[in-house]
Amino acid sequence: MPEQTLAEAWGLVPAVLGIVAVGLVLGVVVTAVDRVVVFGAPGAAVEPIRSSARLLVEQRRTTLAPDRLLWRTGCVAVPTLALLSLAVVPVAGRTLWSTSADLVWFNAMEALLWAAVWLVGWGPNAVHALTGGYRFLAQGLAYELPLMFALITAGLGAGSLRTTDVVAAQESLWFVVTMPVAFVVFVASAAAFAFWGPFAAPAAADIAGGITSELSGVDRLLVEAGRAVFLGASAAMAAALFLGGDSGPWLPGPLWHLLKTLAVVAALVWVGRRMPVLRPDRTVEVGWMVLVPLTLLQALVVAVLVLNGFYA
Amino acid sequence: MVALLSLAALVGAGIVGLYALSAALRTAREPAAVLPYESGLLPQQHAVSRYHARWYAVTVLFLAFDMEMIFMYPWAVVVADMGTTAVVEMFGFLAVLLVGVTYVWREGALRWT
Amino acid sequence: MDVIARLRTWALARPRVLLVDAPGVTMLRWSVEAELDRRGWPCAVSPADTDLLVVLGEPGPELAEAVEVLWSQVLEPRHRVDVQRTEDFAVALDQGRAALVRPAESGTKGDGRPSPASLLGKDEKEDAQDEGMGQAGHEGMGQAGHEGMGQAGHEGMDHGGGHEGMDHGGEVAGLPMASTGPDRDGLELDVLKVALGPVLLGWPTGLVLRADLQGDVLTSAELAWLDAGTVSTAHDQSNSQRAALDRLAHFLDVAGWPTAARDARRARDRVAEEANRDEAQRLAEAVARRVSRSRTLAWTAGGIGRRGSGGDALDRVRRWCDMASGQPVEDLPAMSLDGVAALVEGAEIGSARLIVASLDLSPVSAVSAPEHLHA
Repeated sequence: MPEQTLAEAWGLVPAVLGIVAVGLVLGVVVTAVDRVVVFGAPGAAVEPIRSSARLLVEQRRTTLAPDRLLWRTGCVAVPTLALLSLAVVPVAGRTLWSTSADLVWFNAMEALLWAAVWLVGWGPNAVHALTGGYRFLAQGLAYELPLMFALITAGLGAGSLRTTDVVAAQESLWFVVTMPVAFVVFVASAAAFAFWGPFAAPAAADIAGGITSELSGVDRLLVEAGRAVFLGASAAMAAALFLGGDSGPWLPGPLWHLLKTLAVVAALVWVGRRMPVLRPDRTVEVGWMVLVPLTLLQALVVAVLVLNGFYA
Repeated sequence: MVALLSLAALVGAGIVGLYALSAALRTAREPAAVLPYESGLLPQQHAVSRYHARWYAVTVLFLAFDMEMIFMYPWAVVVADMGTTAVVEMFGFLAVLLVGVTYVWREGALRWT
Repeated sequence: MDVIARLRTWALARPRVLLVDAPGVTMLRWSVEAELDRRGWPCAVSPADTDLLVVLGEPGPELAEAVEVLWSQVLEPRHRVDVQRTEDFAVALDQGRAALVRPAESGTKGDGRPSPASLLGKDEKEDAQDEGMGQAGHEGMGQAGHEGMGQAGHEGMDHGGGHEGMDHGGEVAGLPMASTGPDRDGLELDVLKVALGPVLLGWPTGLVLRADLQGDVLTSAELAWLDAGTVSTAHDQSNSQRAALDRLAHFLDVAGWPTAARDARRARDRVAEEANRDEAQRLAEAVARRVSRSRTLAWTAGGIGRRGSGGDALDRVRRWCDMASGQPVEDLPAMSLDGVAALVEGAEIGSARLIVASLDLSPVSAVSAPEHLHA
């Protein structure tokens, strides 16, 4: 491969530190934008950091006869998976790790979130948390396939599952033009896997915070940070896969990628906070009968375009 | 691969560091042993029960599709080389699966409350 | 050390507040909520998420015990604030925040938190007599408050270290496992006894719903008000538009729509200010329009809790939207708790929450059916 990975370009340690820093910054940005929209005060932007500090000084808790090992495993796994998914998201035009199956890696990290989030719900032996955990599974059943089809559609257009190849394939035309459905579905499904906004049913107020209802202190911080980082990573991935990544005039490439990521985050939060939580028991039907056929149709259109040499 | 392992190691170290930092900052070191929140009442039973997941039919349907997805990743890479046959075969297969989905939907398995 | 103290002060500058309102303090609750919104202090949805437990008014004995249980679940740093009168609350909130950041005066052990076993202590004895679950839960609560403090050791000796567990068959850590029962799909799966209320976000404080949970579906629901015999019948005679906006905000909390809930609360608070009546009216109409026209809400709350000719949860919410924007609406007949129980029978737990939130329930309307207490 002519292209270098981030680790080769920057050296291993700076690259790894850089990826983690990018992930944390993205998480803070997502939370800050969300807080500003929800609380309606610009000063709320500093609140994510304050909340993190607050959780650090807060006592931890255990419940009656919890499944401690699985509970803590879930709490640790959520942010770990979110940060690991960033390994294949391009930063400064390069990914930390480049294989012929980058998109599969991103998909795998998100699929493992099923287990992690469910364990967070299962662990505390509490009815609200358990209900939330199972809600997440039901929600996953609705959005996993559309998300995978959206990822595949981008790979199909580029003829490669390598993220940098997908970005390079958008030199002349952003994929969002020919794959608008895949783009929207990807962003929405990512929000569903971060159980955020209208997809927050697993952690919704009607079950007292669901999977987060028994979490406090640093354990809660890990889960909240994980979901924010995953949402930020997904926005960055969406910008890379569908909005041309770092391509753009005048400004340096990384800045373009950042701006596009911010635009995706802002649009997601703006749209997402304009509606109530969607109940999984009603959305599974929509996922299967509307989103799956739509994304498949999208993939078919892209496949026909590929056959006609449209992306060549 | 080394890069990935390093990332995992750093994330692990970061999480351990967070736990240590939290232990240093908080006043109450020991986790509090509390009852699970049941909106102010005492729990009557352990919550970890055999939960009736009413969407189990959807999970089976999902598994069928999930297997199919595994084939679709390599397929996406070779469509341009293989040409029309690859597209016809893949979407023919998907059409068969979608017939199954429609049947399941008509049977009402996608709605459980 | 100074740095850590400063960090703690900064971190807890906007504590999370769990509000518990005793019956008959609606106006006080509105004032406090308005103050919290002005300060940017978020409301907590569970004790695990709470720094300040704020109790408004004077809870009756049963609600007071529930507050004790909640208090035992709040984590350090924590502080409890009791607010009785409207004039006091701003000072009380400030003092509460100051108390949070004050360094703990004693060791970590001395936080006075009753152990789970001592809270549950009485339950074990009740269960031994194999009484009805609802009974056991209730009785246990009734005595937990008195027994709670520091009698864990005594209880433990009584029980002779684990003999009880064997007697009960399948009891773990002082609680039985869920029992099995047939469900509507003809399967024999676990049936979990649960209680919703008395203190939940967007829930009428003091209402308790006891039910069996099969998966996430509620069956055999029974509702009761805590302290129903003792509650004062003095009804807050408040502005109906403000009351409608308040109910709307509660419903939107439950429906998971925080921005609309925030707008409804702000409209509710503005309506009280005489100064800019027009702006308040505009705000109220905007949020009412937004909610009643929302297709997502119609889809997520439509068709649940249908009550004869009275419409479903969505119709009731739209009626509030009309009230909130100041239009006259016809009165709905008051709903008995049995009627509510019938509505939530077989509903998914989220639907049940939406149904209850869509109804106008207050302890006063329950006085007609007091036999249902302590079911």
